[in-house]
Formats: sequence, C-alpha cells, structure tokens
Amino acid sequence: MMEILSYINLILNGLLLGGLFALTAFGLSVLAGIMRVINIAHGDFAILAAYLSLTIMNSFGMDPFLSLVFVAPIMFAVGYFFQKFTINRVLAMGANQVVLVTFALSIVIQNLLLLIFTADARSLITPYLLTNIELFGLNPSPRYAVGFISALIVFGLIFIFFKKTYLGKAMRAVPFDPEAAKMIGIKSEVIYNYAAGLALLVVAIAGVLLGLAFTFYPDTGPMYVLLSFGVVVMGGLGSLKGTLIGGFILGEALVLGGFFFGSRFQLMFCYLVILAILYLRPRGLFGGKV
Amino acid sequence: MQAHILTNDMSRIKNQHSLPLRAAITKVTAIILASIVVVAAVAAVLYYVMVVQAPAAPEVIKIGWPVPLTGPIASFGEPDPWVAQQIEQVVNRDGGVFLSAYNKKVPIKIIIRDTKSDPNFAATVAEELITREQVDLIVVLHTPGTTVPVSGVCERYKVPCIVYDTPVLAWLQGGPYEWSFLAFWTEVDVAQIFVGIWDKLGAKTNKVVAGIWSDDPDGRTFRELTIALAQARGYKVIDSGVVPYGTLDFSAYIREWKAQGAEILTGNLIPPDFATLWRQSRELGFIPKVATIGRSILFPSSVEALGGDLGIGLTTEVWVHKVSPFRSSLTGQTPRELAEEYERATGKQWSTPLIFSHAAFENAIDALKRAGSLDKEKIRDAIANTDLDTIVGHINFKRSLTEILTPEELELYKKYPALIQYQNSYSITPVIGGQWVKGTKWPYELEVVYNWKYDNIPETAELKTIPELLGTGG
Repeated sequence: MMEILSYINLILNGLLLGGLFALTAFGLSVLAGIMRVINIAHGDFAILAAYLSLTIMNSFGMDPFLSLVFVAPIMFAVGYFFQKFTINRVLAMGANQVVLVTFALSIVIQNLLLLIFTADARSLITPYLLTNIELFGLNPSPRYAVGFISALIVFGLIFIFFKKTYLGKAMRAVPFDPEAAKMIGIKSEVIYNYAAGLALLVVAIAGVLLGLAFTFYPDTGPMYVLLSFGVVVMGGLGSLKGTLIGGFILGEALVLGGFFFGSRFQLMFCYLVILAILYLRPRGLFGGKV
Repeated sequence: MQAHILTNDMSRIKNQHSLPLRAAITKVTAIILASIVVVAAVAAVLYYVMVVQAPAAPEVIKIGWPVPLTGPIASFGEPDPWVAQQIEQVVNRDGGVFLSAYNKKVPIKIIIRDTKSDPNFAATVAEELITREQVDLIVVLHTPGTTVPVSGVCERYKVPCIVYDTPVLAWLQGGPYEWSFLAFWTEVDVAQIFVGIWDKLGAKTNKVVAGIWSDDPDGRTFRELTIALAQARGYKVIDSGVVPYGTLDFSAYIREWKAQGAEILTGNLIPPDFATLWRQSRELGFIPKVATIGRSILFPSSVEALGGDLGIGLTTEVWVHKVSPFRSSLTGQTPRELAEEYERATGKQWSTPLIFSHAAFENAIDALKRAGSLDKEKIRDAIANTDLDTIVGHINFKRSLTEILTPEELELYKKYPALIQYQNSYSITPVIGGQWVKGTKWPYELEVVYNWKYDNIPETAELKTIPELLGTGG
C-alpha cells in the first residue's frame, strides 16, 4: 500500500510541476502561434515580472498573488509597446531578425535587473506556501499546486478568448492567411500588438508563480526559455492544447526520471523524452500543417 | 702633351679597371659605417630608456583585479568596487607605497574588470590587464571558476598573482604555480568542521546522515571527504550522490531519507538547487535535527530567499566572522568595523567575501612594500615571503604543514598529495562553524556555534537543533 501511495505521490507531483511548466510556456506558445517567431527574451520577461511583484510586495506589503493586479497590466503594456515600436519594424525582414532583436532584449533586461536589484538571490515565497499538506496520505506541493491550478485557469481563459471574442478570432485568422485577413479589414500589425500584450500578460502570471516556487536571480530567465521551448516544440508549435499536454509530460518526465534514474539523469531523461516524441511526431503532439 | 694624355688615359683605364673593386670597398665600408651608426643609435636609445629613464619612478602602481560583477556569481563581487575605492583611498592618502628602488612613494591604481562569471572570459580580461594595461600584479578572488583561469594566465605571462576566496584543493588542480599564491581554507578543514558540528550535538541526533552534492569538482571532493570522515567517526551515511545544476525535483531522495530516519542533512550544492531541495523537504515534512550545507547559504540574501522561516537553524562553514579577533594591517579595522563601515557606506548587509577582498589587498600592499620595486620577480618573491597578520588571520606561505597541523590532521591532508607537495603555494586561513538564526538588524544573522581549534574566536551562541529553534521541540 505504501509503495502504491508513494508512486501516486510522484505522479501527482509531476502533474502539478507540469502545470507550472505549461503555464511558463503559454506566453511563448501564443507568440509562436500567431507570429511564427520565437521570443528569446521570454524567460527574462517572466523574471522581470517576478521582480516587479517583489518590488510591490516589499513596498506595499502586498501578497504576491494580489500584486498581479498591477504586474499583469504593466506587462501587457510592455508587450504591446515593445511589439509596436520594435518587433513590427523588423517582422517583415524575417524571423531571424526578430530572434536577434529579442536576444538583444534578453541581455538588456538581465543587465537592467542586475543594476537595479543586484545579483542577490530572491524569491516571492510566502510562509503559507511552505507547509506540509497531507491529503489521503498524499503530499502535494502547495507551490506546484498553485501553478497547476493557475495553468488550467489561464488555459481555459485563453481558449475562450480565442474562440469567442472578435480579437481572439482575428488573432487566429492572421497567421492562417495574412492577406485574406487584411482584405476583410484586420490590421495585422495591430493584432500583433495585442497578441504580444496578451503573451506578456500570461508571462507575468507565470513569472510570479515561478517566483513563488523557485529562487530567482537577474540571469535566471534563459533557463526558463529553454524549458518553455522544449514544452512548446513537444506540444506542437502554435497549439495551446499541445503546450498544456507538453508541460504535463515534461513534469512527469522530470519527476519519474529523477525517481528511476537518479537526479543526475533527470534532465537528460526529459530531453530524451522530447526527442522521442519529435521522432514519432516531427511536428509535435498537436502540431498541424504549417 | 700626347704622352701626358696617354698617361691620363692609361690611368683612366687603370682606374676604370679598379673601379668596381674600390666601389665595392666603399660600399662595404658604408654598410659597416651605417651599421655602426645604427647600433650606436639603438644602444644610445636603449641606454637612455634603460639607464637614464629607469631611475625615474613609475607614476603609478597598477594592480589588475578581474571580478565577477555580472552573471551567476556576481554576489561574490558585489562589494569589490567599494573595497577597491577604500584601499586606494587609504594607501594613496599619504602618497602611496614607498618603493625603495626609486626612493619614492608611488600611488596605487586598482583596475577592475568584469569576468561576467565566465571562466574563459576571466582569462581573457586577465590577459588584457597584463598586455594592454601592463599591470604590475594581479589580485583575484571568488571561486575556482574565476581564480584558476586567471592564475593560469599569470603563470604564462610571469606576473605575480594573489589569490583569496578559493578552496585550496580546487585551486591546486589548476597548478602547479610559481607566480600565484592562495590564502583560504582547505576542503579537509571544512569537512572536519561539518562533522565537528554534529559531534557537538552528541546524543541529540541518531547519527544517520543524508548527503547530496552538486555534480562538479567541489561537490565531488566534499562528498568523498565528508563520507570518509563521518563514517570514521561512527556516523551512518545515506549517500544520495551528486546531482546536476538546475535539478528541480528532489522528492525521491527526500522520501528515502525520511524512510531511513535521517536526522542530519549535509551537502554542497549551488544556492538555487539547495533552495529547491530545502523547500521540498519542508513540504514533504522532512525536518532534520541539523542541516550542514556548504556553498549554498554563504550569503544572507540566499538564506532569506529560501522563504518563510526556512533559513532558521541551518549550519555552515564560516570563513571569517564579525567577532574574529583579527585586524587589518592597512586600516587597523576588525572584521566588525570593516563590515559596519561597508553597511554604513552602501546600506547593504555585509557578506564574507568583502572581508577576504580587503585581506587580499593587505597582502598585495605588504608585498609591494617589501619588494620595494616593480620588478615582477621581486614582487613574486616578496609575496612568497609574506608573514603578515591580516583581517582574516595570519598569512604565511613558507611555513611547513607539520608546524601548524596535528599528526591526525596531517594524515587527513596526506590523502591529497597536492596539499603536501605544493604547501608553499597556499596559506590556510581559520575556518569555523556557524548557524543562521533570526536576526535583529537583518532578517537573518550568522552566529558562531563551533570554533573548532581556534579558541581565540569566541562562540557567540549555543548550537541548537532546527526543531529547537523552530520551537517545535527536540
């Protein structure tokens, strides 16, 4: 009985951690789906959001969750204007230029954070998240559980947004056929601005939850862009459902890989799983025709 | 007339015959003359540069300092710009360092270059400091990743190099060194501190130790040392091996430790990984009596970033403490006074590397004074002959290990031949055991709970178990 319980515990924690991974990858997935570009500064934006939350937490004594009321709109604006004044200008020159611009941005953000916040370790952890919860003999991690629940909520909201709202439909229409979209009066640039805003809004939520779960430094961002990239590619570029499932698979791979092969081979096992999936389905799990 | 002309003609013919010969002679002479002139000119210039110019003292002594100011280990380098400023101010206040070769005081200039926490880039900036800035010596600190490549460059260019804040064994792996000298603790000492802390708790623990380490040279060395020493002193060790950087899940290990009833946790991990491990431990209800961890909880900010009350009761090695009874040879300050000056000037909490950066410059200035010259070999020899009381303890590279170690300790050292063979490349600074507790001025403060063999360093608090400090009973 104890044996079975400990396995269930493992799988549960993998699932919860996977939710957090999926949440982290959503922002990247949204941009990749709509604009077909990879935002290298994705992880740095998440860490930026975590620092913003930290600042609000320290100055107003506000809970990190509540700080999202401020952090999310700020990040939306950052995304909107960054897209408008930078990415839109190089978008026509091809995906490589966009990657270069976001790469530069990644360096700028890291150095700015270092300048303002120094290289000290930070976290948003609140005491109530560090308790030992026992439910039917299971010990779910509260930090990961919060990430998991948020991932499901965010997924649901984006899904509804894409299906039900005009803006959401327009966002889906533009990558499908930019010319046709233009003909019926959709300005692709404006749509891109909103898409980038939306992506960074999601990134803001992910950043705060990552800050709740892990220690962060000014240069932590690139670690998460790599992880998110793995999740997005595994799930299929442009598929939000794929990103969610990809996150779960990566979470399980990490936890089970650690259990069966030792922490030493944990990350290697994760990437082997990604490779195996890409071998079987080169476009990812839910990747349609591009 | 006719004859005369004839003779003239004859002689002309004769002349014409001998012309190539004479011309050749003149040419050779000219070349010889020219060479003599050139050689003389070069000699004169050289004489001017070397003999006439030399007595003119240099305007400034340049000390190159590669520092990790950005990147993952930037916390180590954070106080360094302030340290450089303080040292320059103190030394240059009355003219600089007296160099007997020029019978003059020469001010110092400390040139800091950012290594970006990258070993390769650290080597590049060291090379630049030597070739472009023409520094007279190099000072370098903060982890083997910074100091080993920089020492390597100094060896290649034959530039004296003073190294602090790098565990001795890790640094020696990049050796042997002729131009570089290190002052810090040895890994063997820290392993003794760790086991010593547990010994001090006596029967409060069941002597079952869980151990986990980072998969890098430091982690592997500490794993070997800690396991061997703990087993020799009668502890049972659950060896969970080494883990790669960025491990995000430790639950499998924690469950095993819980199942086997481990009451002592030890390890040497990078700070974010230990944070992940320690948070998961709390979530899974694993609260050992004592957790003695290297590397991860050096900085107060790292302890704070664990979140909640997770920092309480963690034990670790302490390189130097505010209460250490040492004084700076430059400013006369104790570690407490230096730390407080730093806190006043910057508004930031002090951290241990601050004190070591100061000490490295004490060593540099002392060596320059004794060298009395900017001749690199003289500076090198002066460093080798250091016999100085600094803010981190006594520094002496020429002492023999048999003078300072007990026979038992010497046996431990002998397991690592490099420690014996290159004993004159390093000097050992005193290391003691500390415990993080809730602070009064700052969120967490470090208390000395185990002074090991250094009776002159007072213990500031009694060693307690984590449950005792959390108020959840023993």
